[in-house]
Amino acid sequence: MPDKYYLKNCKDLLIGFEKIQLKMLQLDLKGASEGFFTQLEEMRQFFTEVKADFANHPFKSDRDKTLLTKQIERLLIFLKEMDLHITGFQSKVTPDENEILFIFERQHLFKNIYRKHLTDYSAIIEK
Amino acid sequence: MGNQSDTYQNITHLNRQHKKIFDLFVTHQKYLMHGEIDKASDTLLELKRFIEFHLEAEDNILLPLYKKHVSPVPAGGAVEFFIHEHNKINRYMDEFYRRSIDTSADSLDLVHLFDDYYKFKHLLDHHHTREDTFLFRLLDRILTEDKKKEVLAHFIFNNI
Repeated sequence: MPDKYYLKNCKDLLIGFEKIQLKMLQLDLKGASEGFFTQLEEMRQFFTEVKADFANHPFKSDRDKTLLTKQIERLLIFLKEMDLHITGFQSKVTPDENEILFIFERQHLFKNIYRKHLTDYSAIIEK
Repeated sequence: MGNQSDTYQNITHLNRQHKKIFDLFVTHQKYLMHGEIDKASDTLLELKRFIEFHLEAEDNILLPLYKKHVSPVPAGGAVEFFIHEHNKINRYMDEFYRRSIDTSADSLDLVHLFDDYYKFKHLLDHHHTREDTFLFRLLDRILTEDKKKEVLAHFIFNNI
């Protein structure tokens, strides 16, 4: 990593993440919290490794390396924040729809950064 | 909420209609989350009608007055901005009404619909702030009490 499988891995992780978001929107809190904890940990490990790999990868420009690395760092920060959200709603007996909407909308921002990273990564490797 | 004819004295009181729009939209989202599709569709239709009424009154009553009396127009308060955002809001509502009916509960459609709902709420928030800051506040400063009363009578909507 980075290699030709990177984009596919990222896209698969995102689909997995959205499948758990669906559980959350359908108010399956138990299924969603269990799913999120596993998925967030998988993403955290993946991007931690990617960050280390990016540091040693001979990118064509330092600017590209810095851009992609900063995006990964932002994603890792978001993953930490989402862990806290899930811990919060995991203990709820009845769902608080407003809280779920808030969490979903924070996750929307996470997905925006995620997709932007994939777009930038594709553009950089195709240079 | 009932008839609001006695409660609107200033143009800025129309912010209550903005709040109602936002609240109805969230109610629609909550019905979808509970899988109550019929109620979600009814709420969205109610919201669509109310938004159409509200935007039409703004386009036909408030904006011509604003255009006539506010000069120079402040940066960020151009009439074209309001009209452009109204068109966007109407387009979103048409699209959402179609998609909320087609949404399959078991697919990621619901996630993608809610992603677009976030963008819509962001647009509403931005638009309502623009209207409150420029359209409503400046007209409140310019119009006489009698004129305000006359204008606000056009914003009485039977059910909301």
